[in-house]
Amino acid sequence: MNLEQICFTIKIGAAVLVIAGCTGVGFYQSGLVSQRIREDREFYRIMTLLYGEIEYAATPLPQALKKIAARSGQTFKLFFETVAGQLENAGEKTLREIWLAQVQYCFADSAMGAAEREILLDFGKNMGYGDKKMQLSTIALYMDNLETILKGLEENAASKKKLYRCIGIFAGILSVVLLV
Amino acid sequence: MDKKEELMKIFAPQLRKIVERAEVDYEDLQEIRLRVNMPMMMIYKNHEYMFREDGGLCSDNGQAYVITPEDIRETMALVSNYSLYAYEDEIRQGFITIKGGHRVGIAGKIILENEKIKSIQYISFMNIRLSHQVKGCADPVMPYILTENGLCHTLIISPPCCGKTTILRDIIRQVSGSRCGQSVGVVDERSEIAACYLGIPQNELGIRTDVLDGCPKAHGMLMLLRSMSPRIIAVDEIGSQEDLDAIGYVINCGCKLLATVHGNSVEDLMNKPVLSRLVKERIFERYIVLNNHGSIGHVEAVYNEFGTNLFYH
Repeated sequence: MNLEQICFTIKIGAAVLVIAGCTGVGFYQSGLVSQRIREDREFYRIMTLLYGEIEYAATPLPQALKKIAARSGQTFKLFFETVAGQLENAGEKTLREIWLAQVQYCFADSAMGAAEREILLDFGKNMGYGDKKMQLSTIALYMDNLETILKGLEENAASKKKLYRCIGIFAGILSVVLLV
Repeated sequence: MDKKEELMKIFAPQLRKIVERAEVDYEDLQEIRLRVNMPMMMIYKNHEYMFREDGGLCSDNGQAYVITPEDIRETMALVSNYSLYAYEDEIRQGFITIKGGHRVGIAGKIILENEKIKSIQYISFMNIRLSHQVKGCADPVMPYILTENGLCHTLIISPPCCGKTTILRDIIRQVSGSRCGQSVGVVDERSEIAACYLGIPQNELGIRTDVLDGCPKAHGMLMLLRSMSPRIIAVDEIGSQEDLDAIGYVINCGCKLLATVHGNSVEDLMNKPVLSRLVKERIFERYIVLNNHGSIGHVEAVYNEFGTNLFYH
């Protein structure tokens, strides 16, 4: 192989890598859309479980969170187990402080959007105060808000995913064209 | 978990620091009282003391730590585990039982609905009463209430705060827990006998005891008979016609009965319209009369159904 052929091979290889990289980023973003929907559905399911625990059994919050943790996916499981454990140990921190700290820790890498995160944070601020009726009304309100967000995401999911993938591929091609 | 650890969990952080620093024997600590804008107080060894901010004790208002509304609010949140909704029934009755069997009495503005108490709002007063189970306090009376046929139908008569629930608890523990023990069903209407927390008795009641917590006595006795097959049923503070009807049913089913009632003596019961029937019809085979002469839970006498005093000091 002469020098020209080697350079050509390297250029082709680099072009392939650039296109693959950009396509990968596009597919990754597309995956995040799916993950966000999965996590939001999990969040909605968990609120339904908590609603049931309070409505039918009036389970105190630490015990309710433990029960729900046992039936949750990895991220929520860790979150609820940690919050329940810290509540039972009754340190210096209030529920609000514990909840906020654990949201920031457990959901740091989450695909949840800003709106859902806000609901999760508000949840912690308003839990435990007032009678059963008020608690259930609060949870129902958050469930309604989350349902609205979820509907919007699901309606646009297919087109968004396609868009991200296409942008990834074309961004790769464009980058190669510009570099060459 | 010891008493101190159980208590520390329920106090607001500022109050926790004060109580932690106080040098008290928790076995002798009876009550801690929190009142908004008033000194923090306790009843210790039957005397009243106030807490200073450094944890020391004093009798002077001027030096005592004054409870703030925030202290009460945070303490209430911790007592209920941030779950006030879970304690609606207890709040309606005016107290919450916490882990360890200790009782937190609450007072504030009552919310009525259809002339019934719906809830308590603006909780501003709390009374934390420590639970002290006295094992062995029934030892002096056990020989008189146990025969070769088992436990006699026994009624404990006592004025308030003379230890009738404490002695009832110990009789249940001994009858249920001994090697030849019998199954006991307890109707714990006010959560004072077993002091259940999340359904688990915080007081030791023996290995053969079943508890209906927070259940009205008359209903509870019938439920236990139908579902748990007890040999003995124990209830605290009988007094109504409904209770009496249920007692009659229990006895007719062959169960032994262990109960307490407010009063000073057997003669005192004869002056009460519903309870006098108990004595006239000789429903109970033993009457344990308590007073607080000398000490709480002092056994004055143990009578049989004919009025003969069987008890000698």
